[in-house]
Amino acid sequence: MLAKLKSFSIEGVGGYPVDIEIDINNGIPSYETVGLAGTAVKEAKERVRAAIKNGGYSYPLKKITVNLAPADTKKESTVFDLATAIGVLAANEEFEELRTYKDYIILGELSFDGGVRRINGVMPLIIAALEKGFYKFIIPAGNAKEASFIEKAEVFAVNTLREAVEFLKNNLELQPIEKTSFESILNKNKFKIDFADVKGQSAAKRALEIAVSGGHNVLMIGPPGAGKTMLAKCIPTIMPNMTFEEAIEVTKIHSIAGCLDPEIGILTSRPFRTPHHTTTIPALCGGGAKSRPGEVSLAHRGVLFLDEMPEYPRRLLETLRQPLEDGSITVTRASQSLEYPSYFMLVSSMNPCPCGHFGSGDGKCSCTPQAIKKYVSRLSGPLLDRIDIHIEVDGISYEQLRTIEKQEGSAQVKERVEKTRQIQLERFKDFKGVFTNAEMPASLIEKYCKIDRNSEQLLKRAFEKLGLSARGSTRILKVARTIADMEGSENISEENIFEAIQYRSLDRKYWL
Amino acid sequence: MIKHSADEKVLLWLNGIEGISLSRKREILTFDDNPYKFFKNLKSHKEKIIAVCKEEGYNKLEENYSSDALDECEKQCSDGIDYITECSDNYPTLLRDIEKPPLALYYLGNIKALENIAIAIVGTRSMTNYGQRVAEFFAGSFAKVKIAVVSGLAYGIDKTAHEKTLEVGGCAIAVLGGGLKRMYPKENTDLARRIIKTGGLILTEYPPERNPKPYYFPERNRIISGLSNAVLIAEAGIKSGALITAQHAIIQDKKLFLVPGSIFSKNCDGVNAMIKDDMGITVTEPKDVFEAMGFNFVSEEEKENIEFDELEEFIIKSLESGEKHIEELLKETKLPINTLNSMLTKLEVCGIIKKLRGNYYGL
Repeated sequence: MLAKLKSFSIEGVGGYPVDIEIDINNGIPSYETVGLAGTAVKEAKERVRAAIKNGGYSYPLKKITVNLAPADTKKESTVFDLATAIGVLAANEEFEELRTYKDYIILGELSFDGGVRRINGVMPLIIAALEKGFYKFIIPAGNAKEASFIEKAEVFAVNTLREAVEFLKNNLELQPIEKTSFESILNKNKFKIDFADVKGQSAAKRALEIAVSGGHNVLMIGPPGAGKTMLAKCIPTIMPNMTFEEAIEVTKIHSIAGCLDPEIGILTSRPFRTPHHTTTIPALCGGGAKSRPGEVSLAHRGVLFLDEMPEYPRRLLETLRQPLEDGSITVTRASQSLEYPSYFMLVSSMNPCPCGHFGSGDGKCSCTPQAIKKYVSRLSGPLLDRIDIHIEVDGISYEQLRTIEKQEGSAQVKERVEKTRQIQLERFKDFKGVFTNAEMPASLIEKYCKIDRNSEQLLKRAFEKLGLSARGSTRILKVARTIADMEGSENISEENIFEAIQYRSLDRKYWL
Repeated sequence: MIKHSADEKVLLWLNGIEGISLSRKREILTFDDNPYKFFKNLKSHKEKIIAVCKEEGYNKLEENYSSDALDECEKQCSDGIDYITECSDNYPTLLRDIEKPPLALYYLGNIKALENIAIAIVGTRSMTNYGQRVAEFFAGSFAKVKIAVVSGLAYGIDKTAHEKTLEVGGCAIAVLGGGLKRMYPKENTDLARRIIKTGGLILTEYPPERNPKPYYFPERNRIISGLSNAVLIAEAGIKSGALITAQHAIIQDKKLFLVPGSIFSKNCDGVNAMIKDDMGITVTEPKDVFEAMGFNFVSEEEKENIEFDELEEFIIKSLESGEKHIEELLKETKLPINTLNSMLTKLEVCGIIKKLRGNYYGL
């Protein structure tokens, strides 16, 4: 007899429906999977058999054929286990009453003892199914938290195959899982670090506040031990809270990558990703044999921190150009082309030279000028072009570390940042895909970064006098716009421009 | 290119031959009345040449010897390159007086630049903020009173000295340790171009296509000091090549000016050691240099006439005691960081203060 069930499979950050068809015939007992099944799907055979048997049901000793449609897309996932097992039982005629399965999208991986294991990507799968018009779901209990944030869905969580079967047979009463409101868990998010913990560094902190306020990418230059990493880690603490929509977007990606905390089930704070410099291109951009989102996507709506940026291979850094420009990355492989969102703030750090002490004033640097030049030039012009703010961070002395009074905490800074962001949202509400000053295209810069003639002259003079490179000018304007927004002023003043110039360190002549 | 005499061509030819030392070249030139005769009669001097330069030396000469060798040699000087030799009228007299004057010098730019009074400013390639300020301070005031500033087109002090000279519209002279078509370091090619464009001069002893070699640089240092009336060491560690230039200056009996540095800085211990050994004249401002050289210049710092408010005056005053970190300025002025930042840029654009590496500011 034939059983037909619906399930969903991940593609990119979305999902597509998969029909699972199970046919049981008389013949030599066997189990065959067709429909471009990957190894994980083929191996489901053993899990299905053991789970049915150990779950207390009888495994049909017949010829079983499983088809996964559409049969021409590769399926590489264990989410079909539970649906397949229920299908095998249903097709076996003994369980006529199991036919209620037709109302549900069934997701879950089986264990040999008949238990149901948590799977990756439940949130995007449910959202995709909702879009396709399905409302009822059976999912592993381990994924319940994650699903509880999706409003319209009616989701039932099961711990074992037996629970699922008896529930479908109406022998067992299950309640749909309770919805959790996003706001209720929002306040739980606690950071291990606070802006107040960073002693001194007022210039750097100011620059970071501007950067976060306007969504500008940042490069910090300084000797080892200056506190670059600590400053970077503080950035998420001053970023505005994620809206629910943003949280869902980000959680979807993290769910697929399998790095979601099952206890919370949703991301409440902005991600902070620190891929190491030995990271490969697929790990950074996404893709690979199992099509997984990369670090740039995991950093979506958060921070991607590249510590010691010149240590990263050039090829790796250049791949960042598309996501920095478009806010998404397209991974094209022979078999498919996937798009992952990757709108992140790039925060990077570097030493001023290979030994790290160039310019620290104590003459400790032993690098040759060529070596320094080579080190700095590892960052290509086009990449630097996408970094609006570069600042010098330098170590503070022991006295400073001990004596400086308590500094302003993250909460206060964050409040200001949120205000500034609000101004920008208001300004760009008619422009699709632009939320912050950093994202302004040339046409908007012209419109919103107007400066009077006097300031224009000053800017020109500053360029000549300080030897700034010409392509820094629009970046200075964008940053000046953000500074003006922070003051809540409509027009960019001279002071704003002057301040913005301070954050273009790499344009200075003294970098050889 | 101006027309050169046969004697000049021979000197150029001989200068371009590798593998024979300069003193030997000079010795064999004395075998005949003038260089051209020597070239003509080269083969007849074989025995004597071998006695001086050994068999290999003579072979080197013979290898390069042909009827059109002289013209070939001159042809290397393309793309605006010209040369002067010891027999040229415009060969700088200062250079004639040194121990080993070069036979020939290739140059790009304005050869008349050598008629100026010249002071060499040299120092370490890995300079600190302090060294940079010293170089700019002196180069700027020299250039303003039309003293040509001589240096070596290297990184660090050399580059800073050249840049500052150009900035105030002075005359820059650079002496290279390699051929003019093999500019080293490559990054300074643009600087070289600007030096030429502004009436400066780039010179070298080596043929245009010759790649720089490590031992060329100490050799060219004798020309840097030789061309100059005096040498100033801005910042130099104990191993810096600038100390070689200083040695040459002493041997050549030029005035040697030493700018003291921090006694704790590795980058200054070279100069400081020389001061301790009383090797030169310690100077702390351009006036000292002018006095020692008997010049009557009044070096006046022309500052732009801009009105500053109280706080800006305060910052300027505060920086007078030395360079300061931005955190210190913050503490002193009690200003919010954004105001201070924009004020600092303003002062910088006005040319009053300078942003240094590592968030330091100085006058």
